[in-house]
Amino acid sequence: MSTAPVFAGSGDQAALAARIFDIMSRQAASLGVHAPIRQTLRNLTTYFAGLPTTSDDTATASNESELATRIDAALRANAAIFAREERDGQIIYQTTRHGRPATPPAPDRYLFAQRLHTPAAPYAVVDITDVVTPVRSVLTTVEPTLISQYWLKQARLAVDIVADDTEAGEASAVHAGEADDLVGDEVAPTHAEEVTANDVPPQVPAVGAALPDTMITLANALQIDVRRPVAELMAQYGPTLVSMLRSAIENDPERQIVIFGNQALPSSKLTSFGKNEVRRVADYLRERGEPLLDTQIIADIFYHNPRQADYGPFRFSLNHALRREKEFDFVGVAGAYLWTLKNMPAIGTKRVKPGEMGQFTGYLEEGFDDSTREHDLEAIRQRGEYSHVLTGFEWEYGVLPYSRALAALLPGAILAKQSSAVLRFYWPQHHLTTIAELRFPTGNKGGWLQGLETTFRQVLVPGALITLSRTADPHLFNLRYDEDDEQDDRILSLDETKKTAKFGFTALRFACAVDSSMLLNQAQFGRLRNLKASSMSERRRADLMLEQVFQTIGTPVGTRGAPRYEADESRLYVSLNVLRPASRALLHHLLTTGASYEPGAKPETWIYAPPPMPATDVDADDDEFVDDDE
Amino acid sequence: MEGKSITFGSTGLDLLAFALGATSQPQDLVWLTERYLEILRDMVHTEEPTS
Repeated sequence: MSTAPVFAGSGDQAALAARIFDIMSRQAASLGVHAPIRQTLRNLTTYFAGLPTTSDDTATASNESELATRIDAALRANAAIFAREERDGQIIYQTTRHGRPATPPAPDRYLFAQRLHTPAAPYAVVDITDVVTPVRSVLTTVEPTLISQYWLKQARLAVDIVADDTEAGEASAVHAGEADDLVGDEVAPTHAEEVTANDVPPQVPAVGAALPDTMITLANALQIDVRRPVAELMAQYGPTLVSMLRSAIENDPERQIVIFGNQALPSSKLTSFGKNEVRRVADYLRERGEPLLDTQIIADIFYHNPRQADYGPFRFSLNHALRREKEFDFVGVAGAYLWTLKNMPAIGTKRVKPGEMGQFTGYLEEGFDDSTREHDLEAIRQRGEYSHVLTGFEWEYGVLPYSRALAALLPGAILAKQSSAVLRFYWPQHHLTTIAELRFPTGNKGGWLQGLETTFRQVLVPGALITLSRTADPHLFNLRYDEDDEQDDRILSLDETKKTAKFGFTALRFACAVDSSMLLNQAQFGRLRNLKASSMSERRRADLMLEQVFQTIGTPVGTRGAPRYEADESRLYVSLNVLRPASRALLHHLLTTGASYEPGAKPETWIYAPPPMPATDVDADDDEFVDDDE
Repeated sequence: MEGKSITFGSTGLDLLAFALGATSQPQDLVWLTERYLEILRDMVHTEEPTS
C-alpha cells in the first residue's frame, strides 16, 4: 500500500507541486506504480497557461516565462519527488506514481529487454539503430520495446523452416497468373515461400561455418553468391529477391525509395500535391461519375503532357499521393491505373449486397472450385480467352464467380489490400461497352465480377455460352456469344415487382447458342415456378437451398407419411444455381455428406428423404403421392 | 566488404536510391533488384582483399 507524498516548499509551491504530481499520476494511470513518468517544463507551462485563471489559483502568472519559473521553483523544492534533468535544452521532470523518482536498474540486473537486444552473434554496427533509439519520448506513454533485426530474422527463419516441413509437397492453390510479381504485401510472401521451398540449395552451411566472402545470407536463410551473373541470379531467385527488396524498401525508416504497384521512385523525386489539387481531382471524379485513368486526370486537370520529361515521375507521384488519401479508391490493374471515390455509386446490381455475394462465392475459397476440370488454365492464359455457360443466377443478377479459370483471364490486384478493380467489357456484336467491377477474394469470401446484368438479360438466356477475351488494353475485355437461329421460349425469371418475389416463366426471343441442358425453360424445368424465392440471407445456406430445390424438382417416390424425392444431379446443379452460385463439386459434396441423401438406383441420381416432421392427423394415411405438377 | 556483413535490403540502399534517381524515371522492381545485386557485387568486390 502506498502513502501519499508530502510536498515541501512554501504554501503555493507545495500546492502547485501537488497539482503537477496529480496530473502526471493521472497520465500514467495505466502504468505500474514504479514506472517512470516524464513531463517537460514547456508542456506543463503551456498547460497551466491555457487554464482559466481564478483568484486563488496557485498557477497563475502574468506571462509564461514567469509561470515556468514558478513551476520550476516548486518542483525543485520537491526534489525528493521530482527528478530534474536537462536534455537538448529541455527541462524534464521525472517521477513515479509512488512519489519517488524512478531509479535506474542495477547494472548486473537481469532484464528481458536487455536479453532481447543482445544477440548471440552481434551484427554490424549499422544495426545498432535497430536496437537502441537515441530519441526518447518525453511524454508519459508506454515506451516501445524495439526488437532487434537479429531476433526478427531468427523468428522469420523459424517460420520458414516450419512452413517447409509442413507444406512441402502440397500444391499451392494460389490462382496462377493473378499472383504475379506485381502483387503487394499479401500475395508476395506466398509467392516467395513457394519459390523458397523449391529453390533453396540442398546444402545450407551450418551456422558458424566459414562462408566465401561473396556469399550473402538472406533473411530466409537462402544464400546467394553475388559473383554469379545478375541474370542467372534473377532467373533462379527472381521472385524471392524482388519480394524481399520490396519488403525492405517498404520498411526502410528513411523512406529513401517509395513504391507504387510494381514501380519505384526515390522519395526525393516525388512531386507533392496540396489539398486543393487533391480536391480538384475528387471534384472531377465526382463530376464524371465513373472511375478515371490517372493519365486522364493528369491531362484534364494538371495539363501535363506525356512528352514532358518529368511526366513519368509526375504520374507516379499523383498515384502515390492519391493512394494516401482516404477519400480515393484505387480500382486499377497493371497498365491501367484507375481511381474512383469511395462514396461513388456502386457498379452492378444492388439486389445482391457485396457481403452476400462474398459468402455465396465462398465455396471457391473452400476448395470447391472445379473450374480446372473443364478449363485448361494455361490455355486461357496463353490464348487470353475464356468460355462459360451462364447459369440462372448469373443471368438474373449479371455476376460471374471469380473462379480460377476466370482469374486466369482477368488481371489481378496490384496493390496490397486492393479490394476491387474496374474493367470494361465491349460487346462487338452490339457495339456496347459495359463497366463491371471485379471484387477480389478476401479471407474465406470469394470473388466475383458484377455489372453485366443488363448485358446478359437484354440478349442472352440462362444456358447461353459466352466468351470473354483480352484486348490490347489491360482493363478492356471483349464479351461475345455464339449466334444461332432466333427462337422463342418461356424462360425462368424472378418477378420482383410484386410484394413477394416469385419465379415464373416469361416468353423471350433469343438468337444465341445455348447448352440445352442448362436452358431454364418451362419444358425442362417447369416445376421451378414453385420454387420459393428465398431471401438472400437464406440463400447463403447452400445445404438448405439444396433441400428446397430437391423438393421442388425431385420426382416424389415415397409416400405421404415418408416422402422421398429422386432427382438427377445435373438437374439439381442447374436448379440450385437459380437460387445461388454453386459448383458441381460443392453440390456433390453436399449430396455425399448430407445425412438425408443417398444415391439413387440410376447413375447420377440421388434420393432425398426429408427428416420426419411431427406427425399430424392429416399425415395419418400412407397414400401414394400424386405428381400433379407436370 | 565481406558478404556476411551485408544485409540484403539494408546495405547499399542509399546507393540504390541514387542509381534510381539518376534515371529520372520510375523503374519497375525487377530492374531495381537487378541494379541492387550489381551494387552488392561491387561492394563485395571493391573491398575484397587481394592476394
